[in-house]
Amino acid sequence: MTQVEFLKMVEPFKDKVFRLAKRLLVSREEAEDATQEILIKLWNNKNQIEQYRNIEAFSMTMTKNLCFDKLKSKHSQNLKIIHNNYKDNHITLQNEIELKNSVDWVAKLMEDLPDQQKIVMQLRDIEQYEFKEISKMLNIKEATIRVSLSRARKTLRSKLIKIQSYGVG
Amino acid sequence: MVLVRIEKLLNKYENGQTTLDEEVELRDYFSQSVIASQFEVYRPLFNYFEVTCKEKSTADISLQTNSYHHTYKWLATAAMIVIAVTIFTKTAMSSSLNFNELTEDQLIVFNQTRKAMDLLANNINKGSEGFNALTLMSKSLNKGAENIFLLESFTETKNKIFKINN
Repeated sequence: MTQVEFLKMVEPFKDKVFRLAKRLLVSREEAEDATQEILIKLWNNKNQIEQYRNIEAFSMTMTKNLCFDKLKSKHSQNLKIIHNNYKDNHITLQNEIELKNSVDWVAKLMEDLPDQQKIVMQLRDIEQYEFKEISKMLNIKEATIRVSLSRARKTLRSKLIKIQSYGVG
Repeated sequence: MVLVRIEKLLNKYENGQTTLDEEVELRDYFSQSVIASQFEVYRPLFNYFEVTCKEKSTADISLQTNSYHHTYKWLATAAMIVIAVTIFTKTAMSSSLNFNELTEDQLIVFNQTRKAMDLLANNINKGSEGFNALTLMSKSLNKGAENIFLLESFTETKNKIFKINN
């Protein structure tokens, strides 16, 4: 497989990988890095890749795992003030001031959801995958996915009601 | 009629029971400019989904890292060989020179050089003694800085007390 062929193959889901990474890691730069890492991993294993039936689903699973690893190592070195930690906070603070409309609020509310619900909502409501596909990607049962999704949707709805009736959540 | 349908779909949606088609239907409904006021609360949610699914990664993809590794490996190997050969030839050449084979002139030069080196070493030692004093000074400086910090926190507390009094 040449590089051009490879890039053509990953093109349709490259941004999905990026958006999932951004959902979990929050900062744009880190998400770009994660996307790059995933693509390099795929490229290095390009010989085995052709055997996989669904490269897209495989990539999404890889992305989820990579982001979890990153989050874990971030938590374990919490005391280090690295540039990324710093910037994250800064941006959210800034956002809070600048949130012009309630659409921006949804992004912020999604940040507060538990990781599992975040991922499920990202894959279903934003990327519009079938439950079957999500179940394969995350290796959890469809029923569990429906439950998480339902919780996430209800939480967001009730928080949005709060914001709209009191101005600020 | 539409309202009843949307109401039903929203209910299903919240329970995680909608199909993808039904979710598209909901999204379409909420992209209209005018919607029933009781559904207004859901509007940001569906509008956000609509917007955020278009976000793109802007970074350029480079798959070059792998080949870089290879070049570095080759460079490292080449450098190793060069260093090994140099050391080998140097030692092979110098081992042929023996102390006893030196002429008188060469011995004199050698001794002079050694003296000069000794002198230099002595001076360096003196210099490092001076360094010790410097370290001592920096230690006291740090202590001073700590004290200033204490003073600062004291003033802060003091200011707080004053504020309370005022």
